Amino acid sequence: MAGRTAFETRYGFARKDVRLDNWRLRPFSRWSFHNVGELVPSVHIAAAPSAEEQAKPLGALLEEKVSLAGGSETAEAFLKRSDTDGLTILKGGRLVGDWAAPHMAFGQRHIIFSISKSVTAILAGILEGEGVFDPEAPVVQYIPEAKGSAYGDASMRNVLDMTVSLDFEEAYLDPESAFARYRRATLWNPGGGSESLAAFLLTIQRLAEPHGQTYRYRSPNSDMLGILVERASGKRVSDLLSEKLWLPLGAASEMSVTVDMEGTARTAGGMSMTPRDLARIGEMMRQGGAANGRQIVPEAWVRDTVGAGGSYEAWQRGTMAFLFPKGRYRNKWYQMGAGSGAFCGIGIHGQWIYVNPKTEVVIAKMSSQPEPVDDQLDVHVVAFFEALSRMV
Amino acid sequence: MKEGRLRPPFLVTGSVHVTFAKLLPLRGMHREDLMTSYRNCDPRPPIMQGSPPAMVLPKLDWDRPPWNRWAFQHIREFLPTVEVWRGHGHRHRLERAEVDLDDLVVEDSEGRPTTLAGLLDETYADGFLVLKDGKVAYERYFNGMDERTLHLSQSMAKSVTGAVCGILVGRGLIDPARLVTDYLPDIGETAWAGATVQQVLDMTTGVRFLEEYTDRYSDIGQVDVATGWKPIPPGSDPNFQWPSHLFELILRLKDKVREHGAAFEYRTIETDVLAFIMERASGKRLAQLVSEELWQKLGADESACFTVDSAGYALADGGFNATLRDYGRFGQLILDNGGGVIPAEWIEATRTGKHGPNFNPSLPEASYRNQFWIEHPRSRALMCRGVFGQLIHISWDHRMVVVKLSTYPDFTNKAYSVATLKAVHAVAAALA
Repeated sequence: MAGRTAFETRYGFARKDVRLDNWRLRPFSRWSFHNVGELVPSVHIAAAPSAEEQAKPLGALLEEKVSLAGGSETAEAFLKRSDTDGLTILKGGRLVGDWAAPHMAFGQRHIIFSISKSVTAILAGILEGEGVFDPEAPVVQYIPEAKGSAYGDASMRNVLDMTVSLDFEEAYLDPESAFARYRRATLWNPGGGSESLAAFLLTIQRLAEPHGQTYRYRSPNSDMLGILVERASGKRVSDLLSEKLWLPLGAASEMSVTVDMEGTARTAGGMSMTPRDLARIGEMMRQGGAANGRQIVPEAWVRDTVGAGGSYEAWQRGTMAFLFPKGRYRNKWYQMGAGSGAFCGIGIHGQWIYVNPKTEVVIAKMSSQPEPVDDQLDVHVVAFFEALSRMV
Repeated sequence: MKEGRLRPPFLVTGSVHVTFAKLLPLRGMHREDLMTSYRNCDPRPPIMQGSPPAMVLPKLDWDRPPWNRWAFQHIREFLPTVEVWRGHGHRHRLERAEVDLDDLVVEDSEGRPTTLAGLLDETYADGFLVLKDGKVAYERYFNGMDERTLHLSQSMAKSVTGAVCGILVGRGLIDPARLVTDYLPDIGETAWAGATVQQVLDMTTGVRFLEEYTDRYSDIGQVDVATGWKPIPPGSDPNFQWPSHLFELILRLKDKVREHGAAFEYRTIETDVLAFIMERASGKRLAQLVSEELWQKLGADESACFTVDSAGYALADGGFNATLRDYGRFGQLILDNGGGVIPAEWIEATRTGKHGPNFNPSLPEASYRNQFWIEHPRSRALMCRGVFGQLIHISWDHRMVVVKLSTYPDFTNKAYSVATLKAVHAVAAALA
């Protein structure tokens, strides 16, 4: 009889110790971030059956030194220091290699948190190209019952660019706060299931400031975007993802999204996919919306999203200007403001999709950093990506 | 399996935005029929369709009609689940030698002649597969199901668990003759003290477990809460201490109704004790065991999954979900006497049970062994069975495996199950 279970040997804690009230904390996140479906109900989006992928080691690249703000270290040392679970690098559309922590097998899905927003925006871009989603329309055109909430006089553009004047703060301690209700509605925390995500979103009120002035990063906007693409198309997010993105993209593995009591997808942060498939999305964006021999999202939308669009002034008035001093935020993607034209999607706890058009490098990095937000580490991660994109 | 467990057929909850009857053209049907369920020939109500969905799955009644018709194909979307990984191996291609059996004459649930297609409609089939000599002879999907859909199999999970136990026994990790408490010393204070693993495998321990479905506080009522399948029923006694996960419930079962080994009594909880024995003996979680020992070796089309409770325990007694074809591959592996994966002697022992009269209302001449049903002492065909109409029928006489996945309106329906078994035999005769 085994004393320590295989699970305990691998992760250092017992499975029963991971609960809905602690799954996003260390050390549990080293397991839960690639097993979200064991905690939160999730809808699965299948990939077309295809040949199985094999991991390709990064080889000597791991031993190369990278210079970051704090000094010099090897690439592998930084991957470990930044709690990386899985990584894939592409250059010119070709696979450079993969890296996986010992506790995450190659080919497993990992939660991408707020990169889900960027993926959802791609759906909006596709629907815009089909003429069924108007980014300049008022929200109430698609959700009439939004009248009376913060979204009652907001536009789709405000939702897409995080410039809704939303009165919503992350108040962790008050169980009756809007934030606590939000977490229950998503089923990410205990006690959920009596209020739906959609119903909750329509109770949030607005600030006095007009919409459109300030970049104000609030996740409810991106859950709202998921509902907007559903209303505009008449289809559920899971069906849209399957039909318009996952199958055309040629994704190799299944993806999943957590859902609420009404089956509404957590488009602000609930998606899980493999690092390889996330890299495929980055590569599609690099290729102007084309992948797998077809145009998936209109090229004009991609150019606007990662190049020309977005307000520099709104970004400057926001709280993330330190990370990308010349940056902008458009359609849930970050323009990093560097000469390379690099852009990225970012999720808490260290999720990144980095695309450098100049060096043709795409990096997908999935992590279980202890802190949801770590400004200092983010600066190092960006420097690391820039160094890697020159090295490969 | 107990017959019965009837509840009000359709409980409209506060979360239903639009009532069912308003959404469907009545087409001359009684409102009560519509409120109960719908057949494949009826229009499908928009359960969880649209944004927001017109009909939202009620958390207390998802396994009741008509909700179960959607829910059994979408378990992962409302319950936490653990993946049973299919591995990196290639998919074992099922050869096809198809015969159109749609118009095969069979008996309906009232003994009148109908066609196989008619019976499948009458009995709320979601998927039906016939493998003859390992080749697909007949395969049909209904009610939105397709070849990639995972379907809940209820108590067929017991047979999957039992088959993996056979593998662990063959490897010497578990000795069925030993005491349950040799593997699980922490249940020494329960009624399982003194019972053997084989008695658990055959459901012949004397442990008292009440499957009284109308009493929310009965053992089976507590299972619904402990497994995470259902919330605590509203209006329950606030002082009642509900088990927070399944092992806690097991620890509470301290009464014996008879000596261990004296009689067969179908009690769902025995399979969970078996699964905890398997996990403890192997050091691995059940989902990992099923993945490594079966799903990676079957050449399964898709990864399967189990529902998990709040402690991460995969529900061995009824929480398994897989595709129609993968259930077929599992049945074929049994038919191939284990195919080198499950010990042939384990299969042989499983086919050898104590048959008695009136064994079960639907199966008077049957027996139960190692988590499988034995249809009849002569044929020794094996069956996996689950409530709401789940069946894998494995016939050595006809070298045939039949899988039927369904969503009956009731937990059990003797007439449907008897008619289905008769149809299996009619199919066997037609393909002979």
